[in-house]
Amino acid sequence: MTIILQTNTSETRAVTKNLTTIATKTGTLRQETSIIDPVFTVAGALSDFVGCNYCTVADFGRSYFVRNIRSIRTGLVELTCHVDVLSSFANEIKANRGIVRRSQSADTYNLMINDGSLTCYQDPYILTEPFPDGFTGTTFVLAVAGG
Amino acid sequence: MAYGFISSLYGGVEIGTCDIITSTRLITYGRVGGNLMGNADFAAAVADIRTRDVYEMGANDSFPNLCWRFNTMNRGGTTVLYGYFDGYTQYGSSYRQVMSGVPVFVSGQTTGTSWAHVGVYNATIRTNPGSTPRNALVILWSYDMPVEGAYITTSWTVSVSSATSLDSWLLAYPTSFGVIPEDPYAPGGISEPGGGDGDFDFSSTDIPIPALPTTGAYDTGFLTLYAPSANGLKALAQYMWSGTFDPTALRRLVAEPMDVIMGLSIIPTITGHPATTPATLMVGNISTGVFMEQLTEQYYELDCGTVTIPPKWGAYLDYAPYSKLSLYLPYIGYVNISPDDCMRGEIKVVYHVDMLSGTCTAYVYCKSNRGTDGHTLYTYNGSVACPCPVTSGQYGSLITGALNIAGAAAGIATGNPMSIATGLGSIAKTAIDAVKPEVQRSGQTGGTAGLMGIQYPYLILTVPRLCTPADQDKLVGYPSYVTVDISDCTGYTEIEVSHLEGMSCTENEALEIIGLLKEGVVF
Repeated sequence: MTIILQTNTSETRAVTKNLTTIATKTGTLRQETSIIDPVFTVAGALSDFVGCNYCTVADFGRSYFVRNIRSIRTGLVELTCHVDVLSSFANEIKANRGIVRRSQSADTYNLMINDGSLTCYQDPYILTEPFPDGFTGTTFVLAVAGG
Repeated sequence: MAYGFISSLYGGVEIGTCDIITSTRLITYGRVGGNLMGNADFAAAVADIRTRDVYEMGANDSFPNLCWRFNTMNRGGTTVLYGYFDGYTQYGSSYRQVMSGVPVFVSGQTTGTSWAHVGVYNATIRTNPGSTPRNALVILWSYDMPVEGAYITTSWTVSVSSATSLDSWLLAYPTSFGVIPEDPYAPGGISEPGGGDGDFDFSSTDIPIPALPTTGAYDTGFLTLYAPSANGLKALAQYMWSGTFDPTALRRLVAEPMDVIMGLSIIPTITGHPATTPATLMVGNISTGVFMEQLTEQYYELDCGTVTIPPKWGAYLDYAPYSKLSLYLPYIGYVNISPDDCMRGEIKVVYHVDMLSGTCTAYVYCKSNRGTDGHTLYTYNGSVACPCPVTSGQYGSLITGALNIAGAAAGIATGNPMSIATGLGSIAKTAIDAVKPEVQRSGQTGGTAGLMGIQYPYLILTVPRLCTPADQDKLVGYPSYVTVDISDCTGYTEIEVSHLEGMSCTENEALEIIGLLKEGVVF
């Protein structure tokens, strides 16, 4: 079993992560563990794990956020992980369809949809626009009986 | 037969179902009333009637079309009699002819052991034993014959309904007809599917500005309108106060010579209007020798032109209730119109002016960005006439009128902002602008006040000032509601609904994925 220790500099909600490999550890899984929230006990100097916040375990078919690094004793480090579902199943997710409610992409969002999310200042613009024509003069009008 | 309530023959009102009575279920008897039966036969007939729903009278009586009675046995209440045919129905000891094809609705309240209605039935009956059964709306009422040969009915209170439709009767006699409202709390509930039956046709027909009237008081010949200059009026005044003017000649036409002057006012004009022709002023058919322009038209139209209304933000903020649109209309004042009517479109204002009465009508013609047709959506009226008094009485009225106008205040807040806020509970961030109170921008601006006011219309557009932080699109995105292939998504995206298929993850992982998509992810 191989665990690739990595540093993830992308935000956790990114589907595609920007990863830098720190080290690769190979060994045998000696005790039970969950593949969703695995806890790995890995041999190695603690310095090997500094900067590690992400790992990939090909045998589990998943990538993980490292939530905790605990030194058991010299040369033995425990990693508490949680599956990164977005990266682990990115291709399968992208094969689906969905209804977008908010988007960064101008190809998708529509500012005419009123969801109350636009914030305004209290002082509005007051704009005036005259019409091209109006009354241009005046005249007396005298009404008399008969004709 | 079910003693229930039946399908109506009129208007398709369904009030229940029952069996159709066929002729095989009709039993013919002789007349019950009138002692034509012997006691034994009578008793047997009664006993048989009590077991049947409908029976038919014989045709050999003196009432050839008296044909049917119905048995419900010991049911009291309000009796409703109905006949549909060319025949007679009997109630009490009287007979009422039923007009062909015209339903006659009669109700009666029985006392004692007599006829009592229990229901309206859809049935086939015959007008006589040999006739073809016909569909009918018929009534069943109870029947109890206490004694041989006695008429069944006792005290009747009969009223004739003016209703000519079953629906009206259903409303008037709900208990008789057994209209039972649905219990919304019953286990079966009362909800039902529906909707989706719109015609989806959003085309519209243009509502144009109307043409000027073709008929006016000016056409009667009883008066003439002139457009005098100031010098012309002075010349007229000199004439009327001079020795040349003979008031006695006018007294053959009017009580007071000044009555020939029906009115003098100042009217706003436009180029080419009013149309005039040179003439000698005639007062009461007496030539004054004063030359002035005589009007050849009573009405004229002023087209104030068109103003386009482009959006300022290209967002929902450009529309009501966030943006507000007012119009100043000369001789009318400030009016509020909805930006929804013309946003991304245009507004056109047209005046029609009546120079005799001084009345003006302003039409506001709006065209939005939806479709190509515009519509006359607003109509306002005012007064363009500024009266010029020629008598002391007219001067007093002028001052009084001016004082009344001055008393109308401006700047009054109108409307209830709280009521607006109530309807905007879910629109939180931009609701503040929407609940600002409306302010009245002017009082009355007609007549002389209008003459001193602005002579052209103009728009006042109030638009909220948008506050957009940096990178709002990347951090929280903008509103959307489209279905997409998730593979096409870029940047920050919140996906409302996604039935995830083809996933190899566990259930908990799938739920986490759906939750994350709803909260927003970055592609």
